[in-house]
Amino acid sequence: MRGLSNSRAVWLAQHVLPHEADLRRWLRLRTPAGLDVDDVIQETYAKLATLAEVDHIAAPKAYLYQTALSIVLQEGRRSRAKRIDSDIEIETLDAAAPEPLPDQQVEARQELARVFDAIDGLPEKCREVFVLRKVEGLSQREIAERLNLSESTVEKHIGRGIRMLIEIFGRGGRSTPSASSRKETDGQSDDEV
Amino acid sequence: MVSQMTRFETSSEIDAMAALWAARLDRGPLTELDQASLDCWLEGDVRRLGALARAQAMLAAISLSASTGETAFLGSVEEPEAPPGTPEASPETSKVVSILPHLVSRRRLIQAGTATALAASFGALALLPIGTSSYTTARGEVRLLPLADGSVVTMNTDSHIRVNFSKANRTIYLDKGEVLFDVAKSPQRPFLVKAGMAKVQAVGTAFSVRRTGVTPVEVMVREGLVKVAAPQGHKQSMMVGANMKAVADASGDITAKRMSNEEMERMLAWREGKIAFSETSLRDAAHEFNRYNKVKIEVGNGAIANRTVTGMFSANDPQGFAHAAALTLDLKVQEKSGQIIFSTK
Repeated sequence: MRGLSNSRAVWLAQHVLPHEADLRRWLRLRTPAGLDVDDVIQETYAKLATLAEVDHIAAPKAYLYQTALSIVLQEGRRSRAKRIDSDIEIETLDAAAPEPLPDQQVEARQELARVFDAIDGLPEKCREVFVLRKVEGLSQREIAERLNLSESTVEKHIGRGIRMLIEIFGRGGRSTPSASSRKETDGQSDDEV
Repeated sequence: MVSQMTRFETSSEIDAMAALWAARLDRGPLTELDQASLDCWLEGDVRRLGALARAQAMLAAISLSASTGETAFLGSVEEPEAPPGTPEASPETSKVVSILPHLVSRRRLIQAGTATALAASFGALALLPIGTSSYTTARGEVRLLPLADGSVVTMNTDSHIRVNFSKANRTIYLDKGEVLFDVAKSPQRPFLVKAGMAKVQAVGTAFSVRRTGVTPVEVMVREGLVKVAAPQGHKQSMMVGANMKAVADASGDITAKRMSNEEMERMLAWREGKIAFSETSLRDAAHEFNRYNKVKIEVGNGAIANRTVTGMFSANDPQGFAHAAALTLDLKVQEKSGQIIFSTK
């Protein structure tokens, strides 16, 4: 596995990332106790990343919701989580999974515009590196030369930036992650088991 | 199913690692050792692949947004603005040129890439040589200016720019007025617009800059990404995306607000020789008209000035506007010695 193909990353950026915050809210109502929405989201991305083809998906948003829900159901059956009635959930999906609307592109575009708000919130150096990389199109090496930094420092800024953008963007607001940070503290002691 | 150990790795911890891997992949091809450790990491938990995919999608989203128009930004201002030349409109440019840029898709303008094709389609429009050239529009004139790099500049009424192209840079000084830029993409050659205390840097995008003296410097972004910066002020710089307007005021503060498509089009109606108002005070409307015409609209400072108007008007027809406004607002309007004066009935 060499990470994602560029075309798949673009597809995810166009059809999944813009809906992530909404999907999270939607999932929260349908995820049984003991199952973390953040985990479901990550597994959903994994599933979409490993699909052989995505071109046949005519309604990506509905497909996204379906994929996420199938993971919820799968995990639910798997055990520890409370058993849920899959028939009822499927019905809910039919009613709730948003049909692709004509203005979905517009909506997605507006969501993308929020990426820039998020970039605005990055720390100074991090933002500078990001802008040079993604806006001016310089390579990490060229950025390192221009800013007189080591390449690994530039890489760290990029990594830090991605992390922060995901926190801000994916969760649909500037708030700090709630579910996963809570889990972090819970999980700490268990790690040693 | 994953092991108990990895199960307790939180999604947040996974996100942190995934971001680092995405950054590494963004740097270039992995070394064998890196590839082996990435494979090993990914195998441990299916969520990790998901997190990596998401991190890479995040990076792609930025390129995507940037390339839907590319990017403009008001970069940091290190040096004071070059001495503004504010020459009077030269007589030969005083004719009203009505060019309708919307007839040609702006994207196609950008993608055409060569100014030659544009110059051919618009007639006798000169290509810009390397070096500095000045361009002026008279009152009421709108001028379309294709640049040598494939960018297109649309100048509004009463504007003055200086264009300085070198091999390494594309610099435009906006000395006064309002200009829309459709910037051809050229990552190695930044496109800079210097408007007083504000600086705009772009790679390829569509944005307008307005510097009329009365209002602060305003930057509206139609497509792409914008970073706004001013020399002093609390907030040094700000990224602004498409459909947003950034205002840099005299103290160096920058504020940005979102605009609807409608609002954006209204603000750019001047390209078609129109002025559009929406609940605009008569005071502001008069000021707007007076940018375009020798005949001045006078509304005074009383209650009349605060009445509001809505609608789309021909920029070169202040009389038409005045009569329409008077009718709607039940006011009296008279014209004498180059002035249009509103009064109560």
